[in-house]
Amino acid sequence: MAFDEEKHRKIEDYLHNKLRGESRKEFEQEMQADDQLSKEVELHRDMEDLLSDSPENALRKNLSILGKEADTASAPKSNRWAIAILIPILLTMVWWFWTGSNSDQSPDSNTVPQEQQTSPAIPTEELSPIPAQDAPMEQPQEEEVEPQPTTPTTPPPSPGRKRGQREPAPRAIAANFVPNPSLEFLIENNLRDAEMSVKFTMKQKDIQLAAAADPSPFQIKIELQSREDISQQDFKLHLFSNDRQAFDDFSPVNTSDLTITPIEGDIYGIDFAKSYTLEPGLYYYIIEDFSEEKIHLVEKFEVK
Amino acid sequence: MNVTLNHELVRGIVENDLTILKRIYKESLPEVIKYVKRNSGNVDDGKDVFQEGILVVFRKASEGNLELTTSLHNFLFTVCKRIWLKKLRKRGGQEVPFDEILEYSDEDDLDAALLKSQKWALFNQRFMDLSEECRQVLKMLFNKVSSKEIAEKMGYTEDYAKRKKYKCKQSLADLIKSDPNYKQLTKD
Repeated sequence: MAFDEEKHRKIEDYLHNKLRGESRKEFEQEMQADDQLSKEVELHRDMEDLLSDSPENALRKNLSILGKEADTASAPKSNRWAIAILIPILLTMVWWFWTGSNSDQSPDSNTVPQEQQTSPAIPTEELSPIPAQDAPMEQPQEEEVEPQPTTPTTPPPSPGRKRGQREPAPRAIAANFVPNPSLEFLIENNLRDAEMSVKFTMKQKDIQLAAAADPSPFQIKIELQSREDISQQDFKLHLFSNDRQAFDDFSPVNTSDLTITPIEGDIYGIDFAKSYTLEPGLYYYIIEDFSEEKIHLVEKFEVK
Repeated sequence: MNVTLNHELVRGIVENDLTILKRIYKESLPEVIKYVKRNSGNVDDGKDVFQEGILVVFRKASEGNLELTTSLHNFLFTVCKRIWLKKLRKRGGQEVPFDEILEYSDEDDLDAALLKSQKWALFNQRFMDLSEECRQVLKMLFNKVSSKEIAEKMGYTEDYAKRKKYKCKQSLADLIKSDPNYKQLTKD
């Protein structure tokens, strides 16, 4: 038996406690006498309970995904971890090529200490040193950080800096604002996906806090183009500080679900806003297709 | 027992923290699957049981009723054993291969929780059978968005939004009621 619109409204009013007094009693008596109505009310209660975005349902959703992921635990299809492993290697190579192309600037480039030839210094430390507190940073001595390039190559693009120019003296940066090289690399080389194009229509700008405990309002808008229906894909936004270890462990400051809304044809939109409580510092956000474990976009902003 | 670690893991469950959840899955799921497989179940049974176990922790912690006297890992394993025992009994006709009799003080709660999880999976499956438009309308409705706001967001008149709500809800109710699994779940 199908219940008419009026009955549906009455069920809704009953469940939302809008049916009061005598009307409520009458409806309850009606339910006692009519088993079908009673079952219909239970079904509506269940629908509201199980299909809302309650914390328990959100947890169920994630557990369900994690359960599926566990299938492939022994042979992960993820590219995220591959990226995490590849980034330091790529950075090392870029740094080798970079410093190698400038080796003619160093008067001692042919006399690199033996220990540095076999064990080059970690490049990212040299490119973005973290000063102790706010102490001024010492300029690294070039000859001490130049390993011998092992492969002849052309230097990477370096806008504004020509071959032979000296490295500009690094300016002192507070530890919370020191760029994370891995995430900077991802921003520079934003991932391309043949199946989907992803672009910002609104990026998060830097946030200026009036007081330390003030909330940081965050909002982004993204446009996605995909031949496949992605409206039900499980996209998430991960917020990271600049802490390298946190990214290496994939331990974000916060993770939020993103809702994908169809706009027109193969165009979809994400409009996400949230208020965080953040210490001043440099933050990165990552848009990930969680079910595929695929990073689609990385961007950053500062809280000052 | 590491109290700080327990606290952090429980917090991760209550706050739906993916990083913590992944860690719990990684550290505790294999043992549960192993146990279930040794006792007439398969990998999927193990995963279902594990999910239920985490939900038990979630509910207890959310209500302030979780008192851990052991590691979360051990507690979760014990709860999962009990859930699996319950499921085996329910399957009927199967001899429960346990020497020990496990008492579960929240027997009724567990029954209700298992039923709720089965309904959740079924309702979500049928929900996906609806049109995109209906899914959007019902998502808002179930999250207590008013008809006026639904009308504004969907570009409807308020009257049309009310009718659309009814039609979509009716479609979903019909889909669920005609599912043989729903009939099975609600036959008692």
